[in-house]
Amino acid sequence: MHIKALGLFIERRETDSAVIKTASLLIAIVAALGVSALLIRMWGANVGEAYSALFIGGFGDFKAIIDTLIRATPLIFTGLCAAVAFRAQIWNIGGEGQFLAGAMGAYLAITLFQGIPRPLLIVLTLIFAFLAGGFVAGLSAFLKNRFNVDVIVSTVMMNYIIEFALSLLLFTVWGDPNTFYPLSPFIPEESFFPMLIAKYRLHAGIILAVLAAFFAYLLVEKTPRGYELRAMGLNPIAARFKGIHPGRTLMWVLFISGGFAALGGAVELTGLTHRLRPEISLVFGFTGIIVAMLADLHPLGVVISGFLFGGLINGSFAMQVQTGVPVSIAYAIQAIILMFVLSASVLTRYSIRRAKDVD
Amino acid sequence: MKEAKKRIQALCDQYDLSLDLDAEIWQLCVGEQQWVEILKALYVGIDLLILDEPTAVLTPQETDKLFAVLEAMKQDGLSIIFITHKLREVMAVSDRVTVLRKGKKVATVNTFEMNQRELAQMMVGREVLFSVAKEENPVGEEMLVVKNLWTRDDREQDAVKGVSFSIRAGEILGLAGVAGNGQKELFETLVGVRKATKGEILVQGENVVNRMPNEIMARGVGHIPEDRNRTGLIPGFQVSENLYLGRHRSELFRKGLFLDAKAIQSFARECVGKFEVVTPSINHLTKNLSGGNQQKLILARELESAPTILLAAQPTRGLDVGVVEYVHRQLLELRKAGMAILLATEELDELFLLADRIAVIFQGEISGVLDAAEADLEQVGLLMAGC
Amino acid sequence: MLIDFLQPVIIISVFASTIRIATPVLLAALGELVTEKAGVLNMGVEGMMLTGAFAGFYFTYETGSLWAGVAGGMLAGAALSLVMAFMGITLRLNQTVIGLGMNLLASGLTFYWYRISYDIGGASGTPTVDIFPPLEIPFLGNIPYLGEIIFSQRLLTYIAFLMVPAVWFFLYRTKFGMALRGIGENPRAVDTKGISVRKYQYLAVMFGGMMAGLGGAFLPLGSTALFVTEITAGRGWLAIVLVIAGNWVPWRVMVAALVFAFLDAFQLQAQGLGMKVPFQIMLAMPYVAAILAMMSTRARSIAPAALGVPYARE
Repeated sequence: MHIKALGLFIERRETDSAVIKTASLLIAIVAALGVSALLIRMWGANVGEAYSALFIGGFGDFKAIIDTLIRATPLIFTGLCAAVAFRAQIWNIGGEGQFLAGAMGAYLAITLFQGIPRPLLIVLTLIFAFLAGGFVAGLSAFLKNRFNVDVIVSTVMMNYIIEFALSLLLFTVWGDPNTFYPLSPFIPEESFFPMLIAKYRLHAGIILAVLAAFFAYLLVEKTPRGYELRAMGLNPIAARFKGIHPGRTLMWVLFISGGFAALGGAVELTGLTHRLRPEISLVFGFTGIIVAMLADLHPLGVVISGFLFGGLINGSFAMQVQTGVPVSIAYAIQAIILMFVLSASVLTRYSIRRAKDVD
Repeated sequence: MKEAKKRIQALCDQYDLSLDLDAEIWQLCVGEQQWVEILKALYVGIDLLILDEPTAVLTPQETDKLFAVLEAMKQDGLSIIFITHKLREVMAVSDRVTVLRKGKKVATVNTFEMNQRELAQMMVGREVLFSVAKEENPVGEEMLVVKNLWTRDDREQDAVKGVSFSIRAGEILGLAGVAGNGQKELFETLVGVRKATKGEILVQGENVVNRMPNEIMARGVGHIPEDRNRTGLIPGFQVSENLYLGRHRSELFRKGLFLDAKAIQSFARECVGKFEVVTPSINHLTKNLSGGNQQKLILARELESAPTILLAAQPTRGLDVGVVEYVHRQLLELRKAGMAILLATEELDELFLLADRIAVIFQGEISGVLDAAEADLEQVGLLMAGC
Repeated sequence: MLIDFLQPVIIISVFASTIRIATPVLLAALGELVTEKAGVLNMGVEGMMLTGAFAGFYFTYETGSLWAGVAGGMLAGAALSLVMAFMGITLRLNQTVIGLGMNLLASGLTFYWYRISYDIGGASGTPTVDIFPPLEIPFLGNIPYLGEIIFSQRLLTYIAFLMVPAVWFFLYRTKFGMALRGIGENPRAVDTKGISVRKYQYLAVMFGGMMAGLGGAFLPLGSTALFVTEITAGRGWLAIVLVIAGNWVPWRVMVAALVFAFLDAFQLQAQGLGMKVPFQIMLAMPYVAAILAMMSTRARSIAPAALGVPYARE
């Protein structure tokens, strides 16, 4: 069926078009920024001033871009977590908890392995982190396979549980005895993640993130396992008939997905904060979901959308300084962008041509 | 509610139907569910009844009953549009017939002026052969032996009850039966997607019961599922991607850790050519292909893996006459080449056309196995209805 | 320590708290029940509750009227669910993803709006409102023990529990309820009967949003007297779990809600009595319980057959 209007011929399209996808994405972002302008008005600031502060703060100069890269790093990791899982129609909403688990795993490795050579220590922290996040996510897979517990519910519940576990540890065994607050002592310098530009606090986590994205891309698009992942995402029933095991797929996909988020936590700990605290995650897990959706679940796209959102958060600080608009607007804007991008994806279902070009 | 029940009971009596009005829908057999649908329409009081392929789920006897009731309704003044692709039914029950081809009306004629051959010609636009020549074929050893197989359905009820049969190389065993008598569960068990509670499945002597689907596939069992889009293909994948589904881990399509794009592309092109699949490109999305071409994709995929046993469930359902012909030819050629084929079908014409032996399944049990040459329609119909 | 619990005063307090604590979650769960019975899976309950909580607080604070807050909460929930309905039913986007987006949207918007409305930590301190007073039922409130537990709750609580038979009656004894249930099982069959699937689903979703908003509003207005970000703390998710645990049957959902509320009430009391268990473990209990509850129900097989599948007229 088709619609003829305004000299245009609109009908359902049969193939995907990268042009339409990108166009709809841009339309969505512009529309979202438009709506967000209302929020800025609510505060009473000048929209133009606010947005320019936002963009300059996020991408305006060298320092801004560096800061954005730092902010983007955890988002890329949690974005990969969501993208890989969602691509298989596995709704891993536990990125938040898996991120924390990664930080905790890294911290555990650091406390266990004092005094070993630095490269080995760093590798161990990453391994422990990955295993921690993978374990937590894998737990959800186990609960689904064995007890038919919905993945969404178990991952969300785990977020809260892990949050409390971290808090408990920080109030007890891992707490810094010198302070009243739930903070760990500073981790020793040998465990710091390598610095790229120490002056600006840019650590090599961003490189690891990009490498992880590349790895995820190869895995999903170019390997037989990735084929199975995609098949499960598109038609799990047919996949099963042809020998793809739903339970095993669920397990390894969640394991890797959780591992990605966990690496983000490890790197945030060893590269940036250098001590463990409850707010080590600034809703990175949930933002990662938005990052992934914006990138259409494409691992390489996650790098770009992660970078953009990093800039958004970064820029919102500058926006607050200049116009007073609270930083929390960044979260509102992110969510509005998500809603518009989702809605705009409907546009990609249709093709638009000029009516006179059609027979 | 009581008023309603009385009225419905009256309708049942009027047309001589016996239904348990207090039963829940899932408890009724498919034929009875169909009567519920018709009663629903009559209860509201209608002038026109449209039936879309109503006999797909009925035994020959039930079909006769339906026709009798329809005739009675017609005499009462009801107008009926009866949509079907079964030419014999058109001749039996209609006064006038409209033929549609590719969405356009070809003609409306009086039934008594037509015969099946002419109708088929209008449907396809050319001469249609009604029977593909089937020759005698020497049979080989037993390829698939099923012994006392028991399986439960999704509601934990026994759906397959002690089914036993065997198929030899070079023969087609037709499995006749109204949908819902255990065929789905039987096939799912043979393929490895459903657990059997008892029994054996011997593929060339080896018992593969309750093994994983890929293990069973690896032993040379091919499967054409009855629901193309749900269980057969991944609609969101490209044509090329669907062609190696199931063999995606094999060396043929891999280069080290990665998928071998070149090998996949050339394989896909070969398949599309060999099986006459109509598609703009091998990268086209499968969901945009026509039903017939999708079925050809499935055929290509299954046959290219060179199975020795083929399990075909309703392979020509919903396809137009030209493709049906194609599939029939393929099956007979495979038979000649020595494949053992299990053909489950609701189309009795197809059954008698292709099968060497006919097994009838009723309520999960094999109610009889007949030699196709000696069996007749009425016999099979009775067995399908459980008599 | 445990013996302290067995004093009548404590027991009454725990049970009374149970009923109070169950209120928001029960309201949201009943709303979600109706929504799911119509075949729509709303994962955004958490966001709708949060929005309802904020709107409830905001309107009450600005107008001084508690009922304005209640109305505001319901409207906010309904508004959010209207957006969800549009995206899920009309645009037929993935319902799970939309729901998650709703949660994020609600988080971000309430966070921001609260921040710009009130100068937190500033000179005036944290804004609070006067909450609903308990409404003692004249005669029944005087029954020993039971009177205090059941008949001295707030009006909203009475409404919440009365909604249980109300929802049941609607679903199983009215034509509209039957149509709604039919849509959740087999929308095509209902569509061919000339009933508008779209209209029913929209209404079901909005009812769910309204109830979630109402439940959320109860938190500041019937309990805490103030608003904090993430005040809902996963209760919306809990509501979804309750619908499953209750097998999509109203009174079972109520029982499940009471069980969870009891756990919450218990741990509150335990903390009050100074039990030596770390508070984090206490707080985590409901979430662990939710997982355990899901492990032991094989209820999924009784879910509405067409749940979560957007209906398209081919």
